[in-house]
Amino acid sequence: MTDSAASLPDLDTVTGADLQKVTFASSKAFGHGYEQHAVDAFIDRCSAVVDHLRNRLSQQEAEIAGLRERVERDSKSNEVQHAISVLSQAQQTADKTVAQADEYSTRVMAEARDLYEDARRNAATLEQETEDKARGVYDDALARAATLEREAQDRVSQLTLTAATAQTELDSQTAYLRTLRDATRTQLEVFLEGLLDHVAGEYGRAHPMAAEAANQATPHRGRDSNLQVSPNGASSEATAIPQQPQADQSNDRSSVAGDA
Amino acid sequence: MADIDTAALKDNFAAVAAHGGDGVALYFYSYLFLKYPETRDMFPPSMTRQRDRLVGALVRIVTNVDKVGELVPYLEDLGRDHRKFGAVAAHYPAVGEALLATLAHFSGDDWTSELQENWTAAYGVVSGAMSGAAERVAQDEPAWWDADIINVDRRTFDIAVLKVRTNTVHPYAAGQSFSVEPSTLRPREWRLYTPANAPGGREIELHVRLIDGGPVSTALVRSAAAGDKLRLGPPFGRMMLTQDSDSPLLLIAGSTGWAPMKAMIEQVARDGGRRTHLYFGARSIREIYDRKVLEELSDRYPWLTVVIAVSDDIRWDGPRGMVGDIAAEGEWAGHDVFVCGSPAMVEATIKRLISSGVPEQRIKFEEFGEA
Repeated sequence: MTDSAASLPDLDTVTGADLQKVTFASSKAFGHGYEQHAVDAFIDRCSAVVDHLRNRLSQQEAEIAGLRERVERDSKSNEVQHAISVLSQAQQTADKTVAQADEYSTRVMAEARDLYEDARRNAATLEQETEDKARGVYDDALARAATLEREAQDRVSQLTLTAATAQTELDSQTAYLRTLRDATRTQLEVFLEGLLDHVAGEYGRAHPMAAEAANQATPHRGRDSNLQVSPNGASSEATAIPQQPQADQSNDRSSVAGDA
Repeated sequence: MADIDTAALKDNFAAVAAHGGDGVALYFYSYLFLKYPETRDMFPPSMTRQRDRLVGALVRIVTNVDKVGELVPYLEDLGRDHRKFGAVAAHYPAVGEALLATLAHFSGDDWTSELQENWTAAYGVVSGAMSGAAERVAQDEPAWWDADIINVDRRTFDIAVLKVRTNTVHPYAAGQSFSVEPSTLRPREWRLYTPANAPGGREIELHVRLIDGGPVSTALVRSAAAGDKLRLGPPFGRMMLTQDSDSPLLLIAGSTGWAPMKAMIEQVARDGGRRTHLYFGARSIREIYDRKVLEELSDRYPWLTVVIAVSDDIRWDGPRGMVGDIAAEGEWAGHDVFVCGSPAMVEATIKRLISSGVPEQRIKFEEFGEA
């Protein structure tokens, strides 16, 4: 039991119960004290007031704390939201930048690839065409070589034909010349013998002994003495001079001349 | 998903998605990076593709939220795959928080505490499946495989054959793929490639085709050099030889779709060889980028027949036309059929095969991925 107002706890923490605990020493002087009941009632009232005030104080303090907390939380939540928003925007900017870089890279690659494919296809077509052309040229050359060979062969066979013809021509000319030679020789022999006969005869008439000796030296004169020697020296029984073969003469000449 | 109100989740998701999937994903990543800035380094500067992937995954998960049998294998693959990004168990709560904040933001006044609870529970199941699968494989395999480029052989201006050496042996099967990150040239960008040799050693051959505008393929074909570093993800894909099958094989490849076929042929040769027909298709003669090898293999293995089809080159004396059309002319009853190439080529080829009598379930295929 606390024994006077002097020992009450301080104002910030005093409660109704504290007031109830206070006791007062009985007054020594008779007639100067207060009525006990009045004092007790007054203390009751005061303690009720104190308690009531104390409660209201706590409530107010709690309310203020609550409000303060809300304010703080709201502002922090706003901060958080703001930060999240800023971060999201930054991320979106980064994403856009990277996407642009990727798109650019894609475009460049696609263009390069198209160019390359075009070039490749063109090269392939060119290669194919060149190969076809080369094969064409080769086939052409082969054909031409075959033609040339054929033409050469034709010419050879033609020349051979010409040579053969010329040879035949030559042969017949030779034969003619031989025949002519033989005929001429024969003619000459006949003529000479006729002349000799005539000379021998004339000489014989002049010297019969010389004629006899000459007769013995030439036994074949028997035949020739049948011949009449004409004054111009040609024999009337001379063999005809064979005609020169006429066949293809002009043709041969022209074909020989034509081969240049 | 026992006591989760999946109907409410689906409705809420539909309402949120109505704001535009890209905007939703944008908010999600902004919240995540704001609250957990250290996660920004796991992603590349441009987030366009990543947002698409996120939306795709969310749609798939929400659509199948009632079909646990389909959902769980997908989630486990996803979780195992996420290890390569450096994702660890601690990241999952952060992602969950960002997801819920996003949903709440777009739901506005429709957001209730029931939705909050349902979504939290659903996310718990998803992240549990993913991180559980990741933890299970953690003992047996690394999160990724480091590799160096040994040699870059540019066969044409847009196709390169890369020789790569890993630090430890990669456990892929012939025909499978893995995702590749060019750490030196394009960090944090991952694309799927298929090795062209059978597994077992540390050397891997990759065939890369330049996709116009694609950052990774362009870098690998045009800028890559010996000494550049790569990271490889776990094995991916189901186009593999069937175990213990000795049916004859029909392999149809378009352009760099030849890579998995080359690996499978090497595997078949190791296993003793079996009757194999390979059809390789290209647009022009220059695009028969591995011609020497095709001829070599055809000479070396009597059980292998190689047919090269060219579709657009007047200088080609061999079969002309689309490789699918030419292959479909054969008789392939009882064959195991594999097809790999561009999406258009694969679709056209499979259609032709089916209409010529090949049963659909005997055909396995793989398409070129995104750029």
